[in-house]
Amino acid sequence: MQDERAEHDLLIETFDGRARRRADRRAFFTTALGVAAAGSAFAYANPALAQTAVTDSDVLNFALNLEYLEAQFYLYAVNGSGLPSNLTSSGSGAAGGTVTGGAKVDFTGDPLVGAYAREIAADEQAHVAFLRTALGGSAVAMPNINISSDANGPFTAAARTAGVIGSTDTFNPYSSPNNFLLGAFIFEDVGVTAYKGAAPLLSNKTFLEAAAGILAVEAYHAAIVRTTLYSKGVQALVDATEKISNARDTLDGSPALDATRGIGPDDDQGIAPSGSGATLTANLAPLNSNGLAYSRTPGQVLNIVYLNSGTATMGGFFPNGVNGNIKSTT
Amino acid sequence: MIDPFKAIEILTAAENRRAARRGFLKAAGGGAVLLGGASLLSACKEDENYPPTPLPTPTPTPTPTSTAVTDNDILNLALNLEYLEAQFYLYAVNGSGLSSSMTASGSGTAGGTVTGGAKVDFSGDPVVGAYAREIAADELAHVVFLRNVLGSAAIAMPNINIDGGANGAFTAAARAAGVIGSSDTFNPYSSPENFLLGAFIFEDVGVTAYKGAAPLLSNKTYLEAAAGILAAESYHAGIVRTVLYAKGMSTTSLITATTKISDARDLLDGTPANDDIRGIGSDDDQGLVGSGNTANLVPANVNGLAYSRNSQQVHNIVYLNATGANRTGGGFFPNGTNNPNPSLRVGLS
Repeated sequence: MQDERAEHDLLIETFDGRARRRADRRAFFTTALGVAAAGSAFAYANPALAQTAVTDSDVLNFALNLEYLEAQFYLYAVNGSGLPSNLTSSGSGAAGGTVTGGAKVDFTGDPLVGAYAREIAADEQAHVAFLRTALGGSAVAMPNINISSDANGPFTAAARTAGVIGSTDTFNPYSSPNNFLLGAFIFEDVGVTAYKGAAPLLSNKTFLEAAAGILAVEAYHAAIVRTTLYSKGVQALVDATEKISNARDTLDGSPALDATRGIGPDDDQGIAPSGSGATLTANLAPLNSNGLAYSRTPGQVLNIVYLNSGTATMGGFFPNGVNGNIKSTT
Repeated sequence: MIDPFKAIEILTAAENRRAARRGFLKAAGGGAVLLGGASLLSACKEDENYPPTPLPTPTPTPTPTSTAVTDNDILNLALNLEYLEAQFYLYAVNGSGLSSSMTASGSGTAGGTVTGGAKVDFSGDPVVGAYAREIAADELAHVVFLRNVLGSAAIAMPNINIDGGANGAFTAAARAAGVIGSSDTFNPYSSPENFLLGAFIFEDVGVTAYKGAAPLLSNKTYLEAAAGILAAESYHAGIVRTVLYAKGMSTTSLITATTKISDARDLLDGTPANDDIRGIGSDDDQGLVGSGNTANLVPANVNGLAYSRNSQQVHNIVYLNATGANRTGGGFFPNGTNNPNPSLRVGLS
């Protein structure tokens, strides 16, 4: 046990060293170009900033961005407030970004869903804390996050694009337990595919096992949300999941099929069942023909959370992009 | 205590070196005896002293007491568990199980027999029937997938007991857990709720088994695929736990049963030292309620990570044995699982 801790400390120091060198390089370009490295078309196209090899630290920081988003959504829904500032600052102490939106959901009409929301919120906060501890000084700060319910917010944008609501309607995931479930539905399957696509990129076996542990938990979460939505027996909810799923499929492009790795142009499924009566078969687990969950690349995941099917480094739930070295959709 | 994961890594590396050397010896006509490579080379060397002067025989390389675990061994371990789950769900849904072509080994040896299994009447709970059909289809897909990946190396299905009678594995499990009295019977096929409890026995175990085994795979594609099955089993477990919890609001005995089954699994699988990063610990299983009677649909540790079990721990659970006396078989696998690697067929020592 002592040996493993020492090994972790050493790894974290190594990640720190790499992060510092990259930060120095970015700082040089920032100063020389006079523009922020993130979000600048020139900087993005600059091959010097292109990632030649993804490190374990990069992957864990990518995951941390997604956990920040999920944790903030669930914590606001449950508590009306989000992560404390000591859980959003960078590993070197720089303050985290701001959260736009977020509100407490009234679960009195559906206490079961409230119980699920509290459990999931606690898990996501634990994931934030765990990844921050694993990354130590290399942990990125939380970027600016938008989880707003207003007409200009990402939930409304997503719902309109998906056709869940009309082009001038608003979607508020905090206004009811059912709306909350649909808001959660937007995130959870994406989290599963993100960890599944990223886990094989990890070289450290302990981090790989830990990432597999988060992958499993995100799948449990997704199953809770999907099962609860289905069991309500409301066709409109089932239809909404199909529309959201199709929208995610459209956003994340059409990679070539690889049924062993779980990659393909159709890598997302709603909860509409098949068959009827004695052959009625649910679809609560979105799996391919081999019974495997799908993988998305980090770029594909960003397509979805940026709500942009093209080349982008920001948008949607991350108005200024995610933090760290993996921040572009392509 | 030897860390099984470290030991397996070391053995795998050593095995690769030995395999390379054995390959050379085989090509050179060497037999099963392991000799230092140098002596064979010397014996073959042509020089003016032909026939060569025999060199003193070097100390033979000691035969390893355990064989290193290969990717195929791990996939075959998973295949055994998928055989069990597939048979249970297929019988519950169809009243029949896997075809014989799906249980034979990759080289054509016939698979074992299934004792028990029966169709569940889901007419009173069609939604649970829909879940059962979905899960059954997924487990069948897992069996097919693993067999395709393994090809001729696919192991045959061992004898399986999924019987709901007084002498069946489910009754033994339920009695040991205290879900039923010591002379009662537990039949997972007699109602949708019993079926859900039967499923509950398996699904979380499948998650922990894949989580423990996936990092041992060296082939990255297999690793990604195993992660895909890990996620699938987590979805399944999430479905079963969510449905049981919701029903448990009005039928509290269901909640109590899951706590007892979880405690029994904790008892069976030993007490490894805590590692909250890898998800290992003496308490690596959770029922549906946490402290303060809060919902606990996700069995996760303090870091929000699912747990890992190693092969021996998983076998202790499926063999329903914690004492080590029958660590080679019992419970759901009355004659043990099948695996070319003997270390992946046994429970805890």
